[in-house]
Amino acid sequence: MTDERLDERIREVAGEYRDPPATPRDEIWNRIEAARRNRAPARTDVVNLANRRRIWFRTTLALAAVLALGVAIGRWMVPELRSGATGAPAATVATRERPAQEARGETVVRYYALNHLRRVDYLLTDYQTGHVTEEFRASSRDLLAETRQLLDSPRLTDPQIRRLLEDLEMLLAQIAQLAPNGPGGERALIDDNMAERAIRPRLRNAIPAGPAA
Amino acid sequence: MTVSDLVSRVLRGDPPAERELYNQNVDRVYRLAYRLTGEADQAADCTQETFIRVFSRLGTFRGEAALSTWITSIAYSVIYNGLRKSRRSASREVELDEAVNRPADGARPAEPDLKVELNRAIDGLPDGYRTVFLMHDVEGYTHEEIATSLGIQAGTSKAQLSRARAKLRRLLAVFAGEWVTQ
Repeated sequence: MTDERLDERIREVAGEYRDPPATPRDEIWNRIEAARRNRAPARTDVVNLANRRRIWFRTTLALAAVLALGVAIGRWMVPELRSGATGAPAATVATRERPAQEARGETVVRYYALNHLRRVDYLLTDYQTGHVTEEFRASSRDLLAETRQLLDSPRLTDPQIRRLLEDLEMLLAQIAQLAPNGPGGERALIDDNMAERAIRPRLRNAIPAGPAA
Repeated sequence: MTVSDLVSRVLRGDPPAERELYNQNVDRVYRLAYRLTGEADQAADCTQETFIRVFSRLGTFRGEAALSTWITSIAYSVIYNGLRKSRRSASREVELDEAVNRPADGARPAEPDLKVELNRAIDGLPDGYRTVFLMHDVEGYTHEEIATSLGIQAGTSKAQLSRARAKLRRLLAVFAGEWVTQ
């Protein structure tokens, strides 16, 4: 059997893979209407709350991020020395190893995520000030792939960074598709998305102050 | 009614137009969600969330891409995030070569059902390969639609489809003779 014939046969049989049932149109529509009714006021509340607390929140988050990085560096460097110095029995060390490793893994992923956000911020600055080149689009695709890798990581536990990455995923997908000499409407779509999701302010809040790592 | 007219009416808050836009696109979204998640409840949740986002962001739709493609890009993002959150995708992190119980001596697998074997093989594909394979070969999306929806290049979509097909052929090669006779 040729590859083409086998592909054709696979396609025929694959049509039954997770063959969808009839769409429960009315049921889903009713849920959409209910959800939209419920979400509208809540959304306003969130925006107002965010406006009221924005300055305090930004300061707190920046401090927390700096502290987290400091603690992370400390934990990263000290564990080996500490476990060797105490001379703890092997079993005790074994039981402590896993949580310590997990914490270290989360710290590393968070550190990587913050650097990633910083690079996305640079890219968005380029986007807003420069022309779209193929190199720029390639960078967007790379960052999109990294965004998805980070979201796939169970060790990325910070819900705020995770929500930000979820929004960036869609934004980067739009930017990656931006034609070099495309219509202005494409940029308007991206600009609207950025504004609606407050991407730049959230990025600046999430990224700790100081030089890039 | 053109898509542009429909969008305009929805933006003006016309409920019948909202329902019309939903009716025109819901099957496509639900089918994709069901193919990728394999669960009716999760597919319905994803479809619901997709249209909530569609209605809230419709003002940003400029018509450069087809409306259905724009909606699919939102749907894919919702579905993909849903899969991440539910961690159901973890069950698919099976080595591809382990997905099919292929015996070492090349004899026929113990499982006689070709469909079962194909389902296992598709489950065992990496996420990107499986998504492109299902969208293109099963649901009939074009590479351009897939590229826009997934935020990749059309060439990447073609390459992933080619690799997916090659892996499936390799895993199912032992059935080739039987398929010829069917």
